[in-house]
Amino acid sequence: MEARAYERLYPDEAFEKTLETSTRRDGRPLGRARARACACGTATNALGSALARHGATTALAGARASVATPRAEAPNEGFLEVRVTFAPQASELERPGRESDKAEACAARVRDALTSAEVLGSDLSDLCIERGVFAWRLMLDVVVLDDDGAAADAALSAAVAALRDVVLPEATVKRGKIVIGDEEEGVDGADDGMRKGTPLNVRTTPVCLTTALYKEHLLVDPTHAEEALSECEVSVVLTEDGMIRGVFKNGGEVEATEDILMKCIAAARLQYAASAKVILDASEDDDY
Amino acid sequence: MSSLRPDGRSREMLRRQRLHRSRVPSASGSAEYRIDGTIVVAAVHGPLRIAPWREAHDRGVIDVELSAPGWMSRDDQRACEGRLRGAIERCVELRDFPRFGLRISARVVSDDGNAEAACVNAVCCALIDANVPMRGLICANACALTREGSMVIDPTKREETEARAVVRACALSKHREKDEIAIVGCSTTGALTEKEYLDAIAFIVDATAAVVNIQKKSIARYEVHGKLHEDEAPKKRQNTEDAPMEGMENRPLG
Repeated sequence: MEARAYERLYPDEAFEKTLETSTRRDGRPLGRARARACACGTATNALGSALARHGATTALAGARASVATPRAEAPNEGFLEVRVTFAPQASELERPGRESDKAEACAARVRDALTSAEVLGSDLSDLCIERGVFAWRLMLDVVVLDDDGAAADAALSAAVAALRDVVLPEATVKRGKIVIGDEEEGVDGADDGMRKGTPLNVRTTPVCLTTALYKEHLLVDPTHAEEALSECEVSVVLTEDGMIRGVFKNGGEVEATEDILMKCIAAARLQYAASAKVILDASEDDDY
Repeated sequence: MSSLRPDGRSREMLRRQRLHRSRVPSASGSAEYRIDGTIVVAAVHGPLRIAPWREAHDRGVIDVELSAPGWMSRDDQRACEGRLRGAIERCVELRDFPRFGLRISARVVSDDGNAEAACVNAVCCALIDANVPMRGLICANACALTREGSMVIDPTKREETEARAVVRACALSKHREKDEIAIVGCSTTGALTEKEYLDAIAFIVDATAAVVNIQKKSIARYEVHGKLHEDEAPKKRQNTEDAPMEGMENRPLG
């Protein structure tokens, strides 16, 4: 029978056969993640944006900010709101309306990772304009454009790169009212393409790595087909100080023993340097 | 010398847990689970017929709904639902009711810490109450890492908010060989080292024994005879319907 037909009719058996040779369908060994790429400044109207690609999985993040009144119990803190959505063309599971469980799980992982990693510091006082009166509300929207497995990884990379790309416009308070940017333009009025303002101080670079459990094999950075066949996934989020900022496993048919968890964390550690470099390089490219 | 926590417990002590079965008379099964101030009511309806386009030919379909108005944000509720669903998929024998559906709803009445674990425990007891075929009992717990560096189990709301990190995990109770530690689902918030995380997981799995006792007692009190077969090792389901047709196994590809 033709190989592709066999794959479609008996996906489990076909997959087992490929795993016997310890390589996967795209030629990677079991423990290798896909190549990651990241580009900043893709959405020009947003304050900060980034596009991240992990193999074929693509996520786009954009950040915008508005001025808000800080909460009474935290007068010098701003707000960071993260929303992760899947575009309708991202995968065959998506339908407009209520988010599918997969999208919810991915959104939860990214949100928890960003909060746990404290990318903007343990409190959000960087976003304060005037204590008790004005603060920035930063809204970070991440859209997963194409889901080829491990969407949470790409979404988190895009989110972190977008935050690094954000340039908050200058905001001054004149006579009790807030004034964004400069009211008086420069004499020559030339727009030299540089954004004025203060870049956001992003303190850490969290990186997520998803590992799928398929029978007794551990597949690092699974593709969509592998994810569909595997029983469950474990996502590990690390930062450069080696601390774990999140381990997420959403149940499923299979339990994870301590052994498996340790291997997932080790795989994430191995992958961390390369992934963080990609994000840092992407946000270094722009000049301010 | 372990110091006591603000409510007088040591770090390994769980709070008093209470279980009240058949709380919702109209549902197939229900349970109210209390951990001191945290109260969760879970109800199970089913197996029941579902819309034809949602049926799965070889297994049952699960619908989970969690409502915690005022206690959790909408996003947290959805995330919690996802974890609940994962826990349920592990412990319920879905292949015993193909083409049917199971509707599970949980409501957090009040939250004084460890609400997610109470949800999982309540749902497990509700499933038992509904006589849904299960592979074993699932129990959850949470472990908080305080700023001083000590690990405390079953944190109160205050301990949760002040902790450096919180690890929530659920485990299936079954006959474990060689004290292996295996979890069904987990999530963490905050920063922790690898060793702290693994210690927390081991801590939670050990604590499930106490919770399982409560669940088993509730079964014993209600059932006249018949033992839940959680002491046997779980059998691997034979996927006979996925085996290739005869004559296909030995053919080479292409």
